[in-house]
This record gives sequence, C-alpha cells and structure tokens, in this order.
Amino acid sequence: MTRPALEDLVRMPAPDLWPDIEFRLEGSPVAPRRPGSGRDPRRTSRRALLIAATFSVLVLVGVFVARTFVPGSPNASIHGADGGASAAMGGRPTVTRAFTVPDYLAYPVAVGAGGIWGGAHVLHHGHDHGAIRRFDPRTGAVTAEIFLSSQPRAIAVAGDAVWVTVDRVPTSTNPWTWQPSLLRIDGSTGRVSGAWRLPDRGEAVAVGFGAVWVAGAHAVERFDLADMRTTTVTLDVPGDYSLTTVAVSDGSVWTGDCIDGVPSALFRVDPNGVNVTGTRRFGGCIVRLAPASSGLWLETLAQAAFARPFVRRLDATTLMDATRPTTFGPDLGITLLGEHAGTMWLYLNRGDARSSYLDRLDPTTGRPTSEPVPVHHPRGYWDASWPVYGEGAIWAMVQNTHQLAAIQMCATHLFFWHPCTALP
Amino acid sequence: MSKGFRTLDAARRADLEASYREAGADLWRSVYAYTGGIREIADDAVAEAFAQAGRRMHEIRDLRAWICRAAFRIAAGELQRRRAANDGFDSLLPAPISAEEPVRDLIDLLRTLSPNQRGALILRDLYGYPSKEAGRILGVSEVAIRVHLHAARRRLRGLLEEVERT
Repeated sequence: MTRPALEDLVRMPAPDLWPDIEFRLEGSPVAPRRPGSGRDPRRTSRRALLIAATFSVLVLVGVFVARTFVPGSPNASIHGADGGASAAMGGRPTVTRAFTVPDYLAYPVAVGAGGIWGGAHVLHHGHDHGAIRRFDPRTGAVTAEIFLSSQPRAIAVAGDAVWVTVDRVPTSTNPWTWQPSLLRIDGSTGRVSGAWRLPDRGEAVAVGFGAVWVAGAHAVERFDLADMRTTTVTLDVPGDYSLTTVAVSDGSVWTGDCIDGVPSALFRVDPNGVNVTGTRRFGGCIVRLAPASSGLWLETLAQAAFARPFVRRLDATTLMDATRPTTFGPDLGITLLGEHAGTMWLYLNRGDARSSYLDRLDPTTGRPTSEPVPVHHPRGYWDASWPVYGEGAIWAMVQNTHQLAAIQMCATHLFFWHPCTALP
Repeated sequence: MSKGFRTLDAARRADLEASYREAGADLWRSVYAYTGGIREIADDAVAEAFAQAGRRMHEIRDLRAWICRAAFRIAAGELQRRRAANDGFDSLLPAPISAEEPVRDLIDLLRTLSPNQRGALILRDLYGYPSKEAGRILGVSEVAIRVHLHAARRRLRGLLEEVERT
C-alpha cells in the first residue's frame, strides 16, 4: 500500500453536477425522485388525512397539558414572588426578533454603547474590507457604520467606547497595510477616535482596572485609559502558539492559551503590578473565560477525537476548581453567556446546525439545574453563531437566514402569546 | 418552475455556472472528503448549495464563500441525521468516484476522524482557509478549529506511519 497524501484528493476527478443544479433551479427544489419510488396518490391522500387527524388530537392534548402543568404557562406561577428568575426558567427561549443584516459574514460580538455591535467581512470592488456596524436592538436599523481595512478580530464595549483589534490599517501608501492595531470607536458619534499599534495580532480584548487589556501571541498589552501608555506582560507561551482569550474578574486579569500536545495554561495577572501571579495547566485548550459575580468560569476542550468540552468555576485565589467540572456532548459548541439572578447561562449549539439550546448551571455546584431547553425558531432550521447577552436578550447571528436574531424567554399559551419576559 | 428561478436572469445564471465551472469540482472534492467518502451526500450538498445560491443570488455578495459554507452545512446536517438514525457509514461506503487506490486509502483514513476533524483538516491544510473562516464554515469557534486540526493531524500522522510500516 503506497502512502496516501492529502494532495491525492486534488487530483481526484469530480462529477459534473451542473445538470442536477439546473434541474433543481428549473424544477422542484427537492432532488429528483428515483424511479420506482412513486406512491399511489389515493393512498397518499388517505394517509395525509390520517396524519392530520392524529396531529390535531395530539395538539389539543398538548395544549391542555401545557396550560395545566407546564411552568411558564399562565396557570403556573411564572409571576411568583421570585419574579424574573422563575419566569425565565419556566419560559421558552424563542426568537422574538430577527433582522436581516447587510453582509453574509456579519456577526454580533458585543452589546452596549447604544446598540448591538457587529463585525463584518465586506467584499468591495474585489477587495476584502472589514466593517463594524451598530444595530438598533428594537428595529434592527444600522445606526452606525465604520469601514476598516480588515475585519475585526476582537471587540469589547465599555461605557461609551468600543474597542476593536484589527490586523490591517490604512496608510498613505497602502490602504491594507499589515499593522495589528487597537482602535477606539466613540459610541456616540460612531467614529474611530484613536488607533494604537500592537506588537502582534490582538486575539482578544477586555476592559477593566482603568485599562484596556489585549491578548496577543505571547503577551498581554495593557493600555492605560488615562494616557494610553502601554505595559507588556510577557507570558510563557511556546513557539507558534498564542493566547486565545482575556477576561477581567475577581481582582485579576486572566488569559489562557491553546497548545498542541502539551497542557495549556491559564495565567493570572496582577493588574497593579502587571506581572503574573499564578498559572495553572489544563489538559485541554482554554477556549473561553467568562467573568461572573460568582467568580471566573472557564471552558476547556481537550485535544482528542470527539472531545467533550468542560465548564467549571475557579477559585481566584488558589486557582483550583470551585465547582466540579461539568461536561457536555462531544463537538458541542458552548458559549458562556453570563450569570443572571443566581444562574450561569450557557448557549449550546450542536454541530448539525439544527439544534440550539439554552442551559443553566448552579454557580455553587456547577451542575445543570435542568435539562437544556431547545431554542424555538419559526423556521425550524437555523444556524446561530456568536451569541452574546445584552439589552434583555441573547443576540446571535443566524447564518443560513442572514439575520441578527434576538432570543428571549417567552411564556406561551394556547391561543395567544404573552409578552416575552426578558432574561433575569 | 420555482419562483426563484424565474427571477434569475441570464447574466446571473451565467455567473452561477461560471462559479460552478471554476470552483465546483474543488468544493465537491472537499465535501466528499468531509463526508468520509459518501458520494450521494457530497453530490446532493454541492448541487443543493449551488441551487440555493441561484435562488437568492441577488442577496449574496460573496458567492463562493456562501456556496462553500452552505454545502458544508448541508453535508453536516445530513451526516448528523444519519448518525441519529443509526444509518452507519458502512452501509453506504465505499462509492468513490475514482478507482485510484491512494484516494480510496486516504478516504478510509479520513473516515477514522470525526466530521469536525475532517472538516478542519480539509479546509485548513488542503484548501488553506484561515482558522476563522474554517470555523465559520463548520459552525465552530476558531479555537475549536485549532483543537480539531491538531487532533486530526496527530491521528492522521500516526495512521500514515502505520501504513508505511505495513
């Protein structure tokens, strides 16, 4: 047996699918039926009637059960003394608003400073551009638009300022000059009000302790908000690898990396001394850090086939686990949304892009408080990415419908909809 | 006749066909490898992606990126559906279009990887997509792409060394 190579694939002959594409364009949107697979129309009709009757009975039974027993329905105590948390837990996550966005690759990444801020990749006159847009959370209208030389790599919002890292900036000789930079966008005017060079690509950005913190390949840059003077915290990140995330929590700045073959590291940085005060190794990549009132939450993903992601809360002093790690299904995309009303919220997206769920963890134990709740979308099939929480909703970019969607908890009823209750 | 096609003028249809002639074969190969050699899924995903693009060409700015993503998403959905239905690969394989032995062997090796690992390997190593773009296509984060890529490379390297030894 000769050793195969990936390049062998490139030389493999491919079928001509154009006739099939033409058929799909001109004929039915579904694939052509194979010979012999047709059904007797009379039998199909009877079967359809039977299915419709069964469905109607099931709907009526389901509605009766929902009205009587399901928490979140009007008969249940969704407006009880514990208020919002109870309503949110009993409600059903529903896409309540969906706005078509201008560019296919647009994605929301931050909420604040007067709206939802989304980055975009824009192809204009054959050149790749980037853009930042601010969307009105109520109408979906674009209220600010800033064109950049490359798409934003990371975004953070603090007060009226939006901080963005980009790989390229315009210069007098080249509008797409490679120069990793940190940009400040004024939320009120929607204009770039400052730009500062970075020594390397800004992989992640966070704001806290009077400074902007940018995680690069092997260091965290601290930009003092008073005068934008920089201080560098060099970290032990080997070779070609880089930091993946940065967060501000529990009186420290936290960052982590993702290294092939060796345990990845979580670093704790003292914001005053600007030095590393603690390191802990994990078996998997540090995928996400999420600051919360209960402490710092961490998602790791092991480097193995069908690896399962782990989520845990850390003790900021000892760097040990404050909760038992909770694991999820393999290859499941997890976003730690944040802590609200004593519950840590997670957004789960399965790889098949057909199912999205909201899940909750108890901050004390780290264990799920209930089964994940599927997010209801009128179209059924959807592919939501990059969820963030803010303005009383979870915002996600729905790739297949090209929309910015707001997910809110709703209490449902048989013949009418209750107004959605915002997440606690 | 679909309503969408009536609005697809000749120029856009020509653009779509030109895109297919230019990039369709490469896309089919990558989706074929991504599915682990299930030709019917690759054929259906690529054809459906182009057809969907044809129905909404007026909304799409970056046609090739859109089609690529759509094809991978359709294929991923079908793979997931079959896994859920316990409709294993073995009942469908192998039906490679090529009789060349190296390709068959390579597909056999790729089948030992998870779909996301295959996707990361194909998009990053074979077609040179940046991790961020590959993540968008597969619907996972940039970091997850790196993790899947590392695991895929390590596993494939081990398998190839085993092949050489035998």
